[in-house]
Amino acid sequence: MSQISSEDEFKTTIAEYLESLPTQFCQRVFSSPAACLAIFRLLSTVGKQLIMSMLYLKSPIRLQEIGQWAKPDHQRMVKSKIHQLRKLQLLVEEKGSVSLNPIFRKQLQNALTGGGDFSSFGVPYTGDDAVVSTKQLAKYANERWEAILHFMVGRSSQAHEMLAPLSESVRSILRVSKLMEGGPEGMTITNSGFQFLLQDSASQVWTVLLQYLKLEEMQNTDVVEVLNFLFQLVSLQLGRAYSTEALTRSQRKMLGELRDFGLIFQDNPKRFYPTHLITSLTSSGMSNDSVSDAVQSELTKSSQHGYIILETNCRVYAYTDSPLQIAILNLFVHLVSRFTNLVTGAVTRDSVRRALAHGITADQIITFLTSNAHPQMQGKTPVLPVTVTDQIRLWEQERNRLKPTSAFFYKGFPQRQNFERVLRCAQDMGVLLWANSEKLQMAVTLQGHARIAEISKQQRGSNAQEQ
Amino acid sequence: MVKAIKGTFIECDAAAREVLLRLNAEEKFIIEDLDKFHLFINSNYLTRIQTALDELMDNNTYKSQ
Repeated sequence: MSQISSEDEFKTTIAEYLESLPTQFCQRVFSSPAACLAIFRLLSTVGKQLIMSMLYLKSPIRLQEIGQWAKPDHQRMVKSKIHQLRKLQLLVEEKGSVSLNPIFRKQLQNALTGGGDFSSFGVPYTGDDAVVSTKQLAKYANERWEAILHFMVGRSSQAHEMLAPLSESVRSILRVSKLMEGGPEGMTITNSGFQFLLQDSASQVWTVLLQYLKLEEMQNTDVVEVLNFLFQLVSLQLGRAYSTEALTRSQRKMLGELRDFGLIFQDNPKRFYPTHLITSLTSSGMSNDSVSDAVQSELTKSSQHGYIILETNCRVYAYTDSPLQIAILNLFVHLVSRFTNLVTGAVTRDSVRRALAHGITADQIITFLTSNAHPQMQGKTPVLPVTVTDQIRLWEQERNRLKPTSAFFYKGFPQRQNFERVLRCAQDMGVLLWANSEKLQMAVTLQGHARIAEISKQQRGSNAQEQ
Repeated sequence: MVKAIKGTFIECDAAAREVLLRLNAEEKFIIEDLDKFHLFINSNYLTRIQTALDELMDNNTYKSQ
């Protein structure tokens, strides 16, 4: 459940980004088959169905006919999906009929049938000396990514880890995305940084890529080139070398910056290799590559497999020795003892309150524990003991016993009529917080107050005139 | 003449409201007591009463360590 929801979130954030682009930009993005395929993969299942059905239609199709494709009680869902596709500029509507954006249609057909110019999918390197194994790639990617996470958690001064200090581009992205704040002396992590740490790695990579896009936009580079390159990277195959000759200068610069994040490996200026961090972005967890099995066994050591056992008495046993995972657990678990392959502790009121004070929500803690739960725990439903999840939520609610709203309080209405009029007015505007008709008192929000004050003045004016 | 007072509108449960009424006996911050679940208070005191409530919860919790 957790994996699907964080993916949906990122599909929506990149969808929002695409929606915010002006039309000409979108047309340019659609002119690359790789971009069209990547965007297609990001859509929801219903969206994909709609696009596929309309892909080879020669003329526009009427909205009513699309309505007939779904059962009557799901009509509204279909309409909202069509609306979403229209916002992304994939559908063009005229006089009650819709058709696919012609550029998108042509390039998606090319992408699926292998026609057209497929250099946008990445030009493979044709030399013989490209020998970097998938294990090396996985090791490199994990090292770099963990170095960044370590830096965020504040454990960058590990005596035995001699990693090069983070480059300026990585730091500036962390700063711009508000995951960390601070200057050249030292950076401290923010609340959103804590939340970032608890997400799964696919969501983390998406966040970083989106922030990179925004940074490039701020520096006025051509966003379309950057987007096209990103979509190209996302569709590359793990383990193959790709040539850099077909790339433009700004794309090569991007390559250098993405290398610092562990998304790309480049041992020679002429070629680069994508790592599993970036190729698994659009494949929603289940990869059909035979190469993936080798990669999975490497990954077992450092991240994606479950390793946490949570008992009904709130005790935690985490089978890991990775300092990063231990540091992340330390955010909300009171760790008690450490062994060679195991760390034990408990989820206590104090530890959870500490995490809540840092801005982490109870849902994030629960999602993190669920997605990293040991395979033995994952066999049960629900995965985590209900007692513990309920208790974490109760501790969160404890902090929110008071629900404050900045407001204005009105009293001393001369006549019931005035009160009723203002009351109705406030209700229509939706700014009423509370009202008592016997005592002739009410409370409205801060924003509502300005408008109501005007109306009150008008009323007083008209009352004076009547008298 | 209608009087408009600026402040903070609070929605809470009955127990928290009783605690706030008791705190009010020492430092007056309640502008108006609305009903069983709502209060209208002076905005400057908001953080202080939140900390006071927090402390109260802390003192009344069993800590095994």
